[in-house]
Amino acid sequence: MKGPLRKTMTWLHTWSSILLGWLLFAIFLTGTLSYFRGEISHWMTPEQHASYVTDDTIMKAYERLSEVAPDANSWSISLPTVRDNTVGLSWQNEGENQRRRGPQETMNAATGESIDGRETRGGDFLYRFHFELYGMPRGFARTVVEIATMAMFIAILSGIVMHRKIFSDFFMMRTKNRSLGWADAHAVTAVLALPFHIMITFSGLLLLSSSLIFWTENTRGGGGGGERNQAPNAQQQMAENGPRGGQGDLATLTTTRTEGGRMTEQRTQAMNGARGQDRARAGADTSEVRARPNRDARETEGERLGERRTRGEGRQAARHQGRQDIPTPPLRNMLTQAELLFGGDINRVQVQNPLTADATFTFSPVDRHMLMAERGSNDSVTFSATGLEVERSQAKASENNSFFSAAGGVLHTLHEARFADAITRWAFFLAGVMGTIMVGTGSVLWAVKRAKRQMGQFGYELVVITNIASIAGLCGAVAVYFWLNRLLPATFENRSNWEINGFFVAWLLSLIHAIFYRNKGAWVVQLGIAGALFCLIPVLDTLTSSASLLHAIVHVDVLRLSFDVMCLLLGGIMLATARYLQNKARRVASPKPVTRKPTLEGAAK
Amino acid sequence: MTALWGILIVSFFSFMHFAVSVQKHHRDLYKKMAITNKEFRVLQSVAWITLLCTLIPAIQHWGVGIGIMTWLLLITVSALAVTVLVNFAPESFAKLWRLLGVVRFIAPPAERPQRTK
Repeated sequence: MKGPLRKTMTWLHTWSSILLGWLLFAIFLTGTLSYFRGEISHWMTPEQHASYVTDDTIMKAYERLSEVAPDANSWSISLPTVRDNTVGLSWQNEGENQRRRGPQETMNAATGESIDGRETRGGDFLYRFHFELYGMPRGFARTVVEIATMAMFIAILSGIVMHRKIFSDFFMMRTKNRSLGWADAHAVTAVLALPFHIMITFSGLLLLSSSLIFWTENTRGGGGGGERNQAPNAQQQMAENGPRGGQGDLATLTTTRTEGGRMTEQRTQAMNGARGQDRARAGADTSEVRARPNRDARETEGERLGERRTRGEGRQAARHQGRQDIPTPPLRNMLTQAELLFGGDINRVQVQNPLTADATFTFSPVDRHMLMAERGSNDSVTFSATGLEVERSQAKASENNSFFSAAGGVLHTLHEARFADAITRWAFFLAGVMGTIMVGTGSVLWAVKRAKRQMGQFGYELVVITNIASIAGLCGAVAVYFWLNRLLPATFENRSNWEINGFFVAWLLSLIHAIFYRNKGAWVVQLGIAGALFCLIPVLDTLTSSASLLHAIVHVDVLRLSFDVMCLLLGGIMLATARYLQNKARRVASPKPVTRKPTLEGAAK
Repeated sequence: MTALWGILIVSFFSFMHFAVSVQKHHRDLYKKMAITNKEFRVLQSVAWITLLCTLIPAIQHWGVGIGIMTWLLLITVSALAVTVLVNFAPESFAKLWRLLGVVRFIAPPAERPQRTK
């Protein structure tokens, strides 16, 4: 390992990446697909495809909710956006745990019917797989992924050092030469998307960094989980501080806006409040004022529950009497006003005390304009039942503003491309594809370079087999996962498990195939099959969905169309690679290149 | 949205100049003529200036931190397009170059690459 810097770096580059290259390929591929997580999930529940937005959507949602949940405490409607074409309805009944998500259903935005989607993990499976793998203890899998990320980071840095002429090779592809073709594909994809590679690896490294801390149980549980794990942590923290920050706790219980795993402003305030009495009182006060005007912040738990029960009964009685008397609120007007105010689509409508005279309607937009905004705090505007604007609130900058948490937030946002619109999302995706190609060609390159010297040796053959299975096999397995989703009957028992089982069975089959046919065109066969499966996905889509592709084009179902285009693109890349490999195999077999076209360089000589 | 397309197109233009300033691709376009110092400097400066110009709308659109990162990604896409074009369709690249390349006003114009039979 001793020697000049460049040689050392080459050694480091080779060995740090080949050991974990296959895992990295899987992480890169599934991670890249996760940029289209919403699209994949949408595609994989074809029952939703018939839904599209109309002007009446919000009224339909209102009617549907008055039918199914007339007695609920609060309603929450998530309207169709660019990233979702159905309406999500959920509601909280009287006396239910406010923190937990209430009953919910998905509604067809055009017809107002409830949609009973098939059971599937959708894009979440691929997303989870890219940092937690599958069927392993979570902490362990995360640690493995973190180590692989570390290896990737080392490989990137050493790769930069060992690359002699980054700029002159910038656009160079020497496809005619045997091993240089791979080397160029590796170098070009690496250099072109270098900023992306550094960003994605570094941010991934930080996101999972706590998985390397073994000595404290707490951080490990919440390690790198991002969104999902912060809420339980907060709750835990509150439970610990319960007796001391009693008022803070109270404030949390009285909030009615809590929905899903999101923390609302009040709850966050209450959380901070649990740390100090003064702030707790402030938090309690504000949230009281916001949530219910007529409630005393200092009342005891028992009294409050009692009162709530009586009030609830009273309200229900009033509702049953006066239900016909309540005029339908001018929801469409409110929606237009809110859209004008925020200059964009409205995502979420929150209704308090629905179907009563003192109902309030809170509209929040899709865009999070502030990257550093506090979780759950958002721009919103509230209307009364008659359509008058009552309250406006703005997203607050996070209080916890240390440099490290700020940098972490930005990296997190970048890693997940949360801010991305269509073009940027595609740019991220393409860069991810380049990263995947880089990792894949890197592993292939290792074998190609050693082909002459080590053919037949155990280590070399092992690498060749694993290369085929982990690169071509995984592509095929993903395709099989998509196909199974449509081919398994919608009511099949344990369906989502079988989709995943199919994924792994396909992967295993490719491994077995690779063992026997590793030098007889296993690459071409497997890549060809995977590519064909991917390219045929639009056909499958239009045949097995509740609405044809034409319907998707007419109603501009961007999600579904992007998924199909993405599959065509991936399939095209795989087929092109398979063809390239086939031609090369032929060229190697026949010593004299016959079909070689006269090149410009050849002419110059 | 227009800003995004603008970034993609202008950076494509800029990467064309980068590509031609590389000796090998220069030779593809201008046959045997070696690249002169002046030509190289002009190509590089045109490329850098246009490329940096595209940074402005990106920063306006997303703010500094995210803007720079997204800009890097977007120009990656156009660099990829140039790479594919230069390597797999050199003739269409030459056509585009005759159409768009600024340097033809300064350096000798690009000739049609000769095809040998």
